[in-house]
Amino acid sequence: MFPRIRLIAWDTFLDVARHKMLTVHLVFVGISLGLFNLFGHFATTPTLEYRMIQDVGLSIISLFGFLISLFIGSTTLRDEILHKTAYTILTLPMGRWELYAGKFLGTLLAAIVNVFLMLGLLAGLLYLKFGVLWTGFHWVVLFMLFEFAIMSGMVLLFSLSDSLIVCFSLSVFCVLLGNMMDHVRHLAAEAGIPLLIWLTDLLGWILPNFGLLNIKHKILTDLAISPGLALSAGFYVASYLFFLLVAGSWILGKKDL
Amino acid sequence: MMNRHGILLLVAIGLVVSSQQMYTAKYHVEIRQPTLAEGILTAQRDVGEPVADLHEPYESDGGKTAASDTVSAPGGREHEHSHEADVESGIGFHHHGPHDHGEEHDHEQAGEGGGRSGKHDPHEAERGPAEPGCCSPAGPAVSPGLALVLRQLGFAELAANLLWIQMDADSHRGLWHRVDFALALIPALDPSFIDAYLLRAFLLDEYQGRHDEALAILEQAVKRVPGRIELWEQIGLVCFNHDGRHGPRRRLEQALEAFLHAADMPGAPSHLVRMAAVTLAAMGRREEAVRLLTMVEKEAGRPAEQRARDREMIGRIRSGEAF
Repeated sequence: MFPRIRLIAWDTFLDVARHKMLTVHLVFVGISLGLFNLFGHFATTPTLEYRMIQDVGLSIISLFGFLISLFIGSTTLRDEILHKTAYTILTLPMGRWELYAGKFLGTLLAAIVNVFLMLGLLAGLLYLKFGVLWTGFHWVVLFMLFEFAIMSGMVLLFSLSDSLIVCFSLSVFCVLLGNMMDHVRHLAAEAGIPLLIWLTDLLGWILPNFGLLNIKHKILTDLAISPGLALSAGFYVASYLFFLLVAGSWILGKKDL
Repeated sequence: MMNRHGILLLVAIGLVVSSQQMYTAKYHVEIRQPTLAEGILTAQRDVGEPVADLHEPYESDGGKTAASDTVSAPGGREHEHSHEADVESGIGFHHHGPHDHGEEHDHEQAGEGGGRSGKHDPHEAERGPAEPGCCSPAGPAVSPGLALVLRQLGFAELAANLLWIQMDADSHRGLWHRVDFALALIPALDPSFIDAYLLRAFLLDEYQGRHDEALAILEQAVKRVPGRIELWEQIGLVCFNHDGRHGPRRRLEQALEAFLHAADMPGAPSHLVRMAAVTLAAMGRREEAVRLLTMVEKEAGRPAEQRARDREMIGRIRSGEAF
């Protein structure tokens, strides 16, 4: 069972790495990060210049990271089903859930490698320009990995829908709502409509709360977070990934292929 | 009967809910930032200002510029966050003020009833004169609305940086009401953006004579970002108030506390101890000041140049020079 899943995951990862679109994205990221060196022009002090490049760099990575997750998640399994290559795999003595788990892990691996590449590029640029890296860098890496892992898994799940537009729309909607979840809940509470409050609470529990995973402001302020918080975030992300994996396997199992 | 997948799904949902509950509780204790609206309200309540009108900057810039009539600009200085080099030239005070690109901001305009000053604006040739009621075509145009949207999308730091750039462009055009607004909004978006506190405090202190409010902003900043030397140093400088530059009051006790706190922080510049010693001298505690400087001068690892300055300062304190 595990060797089969590992084989599919590795194949998925290589498939993504070979895709031209990914290279184009990474070139864009490189250009954007390079261009945002210009932000230093508006800085009054070297410290501000550093933080402007760092802040904008991280935001660029967040944006492109989402686009890359969208691209990876929506193509890996969907293309296999559309091109009917999935059928060849499914003729082998293996369950559909194994195929899904392999694709899921391959997609996660690809997203993680991409985040590492982009953050490595930013860190390299900062180090070349200033000779230092900020102290909380590893926490930024960890929490960005958490965010993009959930995003990729979520997009992979949505890619099982019949239409690519539905997949994209659901993904964008969930990312937006996930970032604004606290505000939406607050609005519903202020409105005082019980059904609305109940619905937003339900959404709040089911949708990933990206707002909770975005801790850049905290890291950039205090340069550290407690390991306990990171551990609890890790548990939340692992649980959510497990939920996405089970839900995806279940849907693929029910899908009329 | 529920199949295996169904049970697993229920278990997974249970795990998600419980882990999210756990993480949320921890997150709220350790991390939670005030929401944007709370941030603005708190910021303004703390400095005793009325709540900002989010729509103000969209209205006619030309007409609204008069809102900054009270600004008394003494001569178009570049905004310098720390401007106390004249306390003592030998102190080696770190001066982290003017823009690196060496451009001047139109500080004169606000002091002239909102009309454009006759001062040459280095950007004007490139972009043409500022048009009332709209943004200059060549300047950045980041609306607070866009900043709010970016913040909601999880890009609060990007929004703060974009607003800073917009604020820079506005200051070149003399749109001081917009500068004020941006400087109040930036810390609400990103509480760690200390340059916004420093610049806002500087503008209030230097050009509007609102010294107490400037100090209140700096004090609020150190509450939010206690680990930044620049903020403590600036509080020390404002409280030290050399030559009455920061109003009629000198708060020497507070200045001493701020300088000593800053000097104790890791990576603190060497001149901070001298600033503390000068403050002690200003308080009439000259022997203590000399003892402090003698002690640091003997510290292993203190650069020779700094030791020479320490000795020079000891001599000046002993000579009875007034600070």
